[in-house]
Amino acid sequence: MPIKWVLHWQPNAGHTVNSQILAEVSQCVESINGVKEGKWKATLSFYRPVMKEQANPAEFPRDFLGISLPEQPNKYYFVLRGQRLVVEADSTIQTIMEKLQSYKTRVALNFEGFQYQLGDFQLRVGKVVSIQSESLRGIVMEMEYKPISSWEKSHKIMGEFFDIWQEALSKRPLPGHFVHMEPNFGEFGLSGQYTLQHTAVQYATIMLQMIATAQSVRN
Amino acid sequence: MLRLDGSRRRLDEISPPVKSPNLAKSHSTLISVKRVRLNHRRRPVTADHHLISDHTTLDIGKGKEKCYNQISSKVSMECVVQGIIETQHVEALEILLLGLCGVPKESLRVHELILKSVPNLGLEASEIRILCDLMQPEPAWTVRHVGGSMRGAGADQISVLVRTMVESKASKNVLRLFYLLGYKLDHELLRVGFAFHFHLRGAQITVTVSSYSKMLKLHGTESTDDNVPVSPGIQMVEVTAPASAENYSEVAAAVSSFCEYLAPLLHLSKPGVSTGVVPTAAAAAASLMSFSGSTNM
Repeated sequence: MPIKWVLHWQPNAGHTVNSQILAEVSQCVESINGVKEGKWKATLSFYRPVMKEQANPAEFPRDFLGISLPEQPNKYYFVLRGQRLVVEADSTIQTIMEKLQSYKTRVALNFEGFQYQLGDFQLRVGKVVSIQSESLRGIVMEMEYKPISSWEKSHKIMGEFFDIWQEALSKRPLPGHFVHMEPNFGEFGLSGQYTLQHTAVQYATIMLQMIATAQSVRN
Repeated sequence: MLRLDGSRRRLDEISPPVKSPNLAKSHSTLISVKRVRLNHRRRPVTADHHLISDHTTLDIGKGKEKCYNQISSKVSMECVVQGIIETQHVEALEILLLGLCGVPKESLRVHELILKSVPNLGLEASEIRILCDLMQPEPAWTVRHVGGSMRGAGADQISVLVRTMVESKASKNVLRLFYLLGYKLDHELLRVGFAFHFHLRGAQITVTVSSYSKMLKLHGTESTDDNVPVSPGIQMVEVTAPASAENYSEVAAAVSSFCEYLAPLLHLSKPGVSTGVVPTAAAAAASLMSFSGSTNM
């Protein structure tokens, strides 16, 4: 499984994301000879416990994430960030969760956009939108390097490519930048060989960051 | 291999035997499976209304069955019947199944963990089964949810139980997931035996013959000292087939038809409807064993 970095757009202080930024980012990928290939889409849902009135909320996780990825549409990933747990299951697990009625999905987000090919790299640029309101919540970018599946071995080449990308983007006056956050995969029990569970953990990590950013803007 | 009429015949090539009240007939039944071709069409269920208790409703029209509205095509169902057999007759049953199914058996060793939600989680209590297949080189984990069974006059007319059932394969840490979500281990069982998987009239049938053991030590699947048979001397036989809202009637008919072949050895009925061992089992088993002894196994 090729290595992948999942990046998110961090707006400068006092700014928010907007569709103009997304358009500029997409143009920038094309300006460095990225060949547009097609659309992609991932989804992320927040599951929250259904509790009886007398329940102590501390008894249960406040929420956890359910993620579907375009590489394996028949699989589904659960991430409990606090407990450092990532679970891979068949997509039918969503039906099982519905039937149990102990946790419900409260917020669901789509990550969708276009995919580009750039030599051995595959780039995906996408908007983060709420399924309910379609409002733009953020911008994400996936950077995949096909020849390598070892997280450690890929670090140098991924870092170099990220620098080139940042430089290309810096030529446009955009109010923010892409951030790469590296989760501690070992804490989740994941090895250095890249899997889709690594991707799910990265999505959970950027989600946390995007929520923190949204909250700081609101405050 | 059990030979019927000189050559092994598959179930879909033969017709169901007539249920026989005595052993003499049962014996002839076992062998008579070779004679007639199966073109038997069962009377369709004609109930007006079936109810599946976990929030799904089935409306079934007269004659040709149709399902409407509230049941989604995603709803997975299964048809199931169960029975018991004395362990001493299991070998005969295996010979019969081998001859009928025309496929080799698979060994079964499954660790079943039954989890229940803690009192304050969910508006109603819920139960989930986590299964670990110990026959695989790496233990393979599955989450199973068994939902409500079909109810109503129409369901009563069918001799098999139709219920919702959803399964999902999962990574090995799925048990930890459910513990963290607020599910507690209610009990755990070790199921050991064998299974046959085959197709009959469009239904994908699985027959399992197994014994259940309680565990004396938590997760003690390794040593036989750590588990005790739930019903010594008795094995559980279960016939299941996945179905959908569109085809469950045909699948139920196929399962029901298959059960008739096993009638001399055991009686299969809806789960919860215990019918015990059949009085003809010993003689039927003896005749099967002698029959198999004279043929090339």
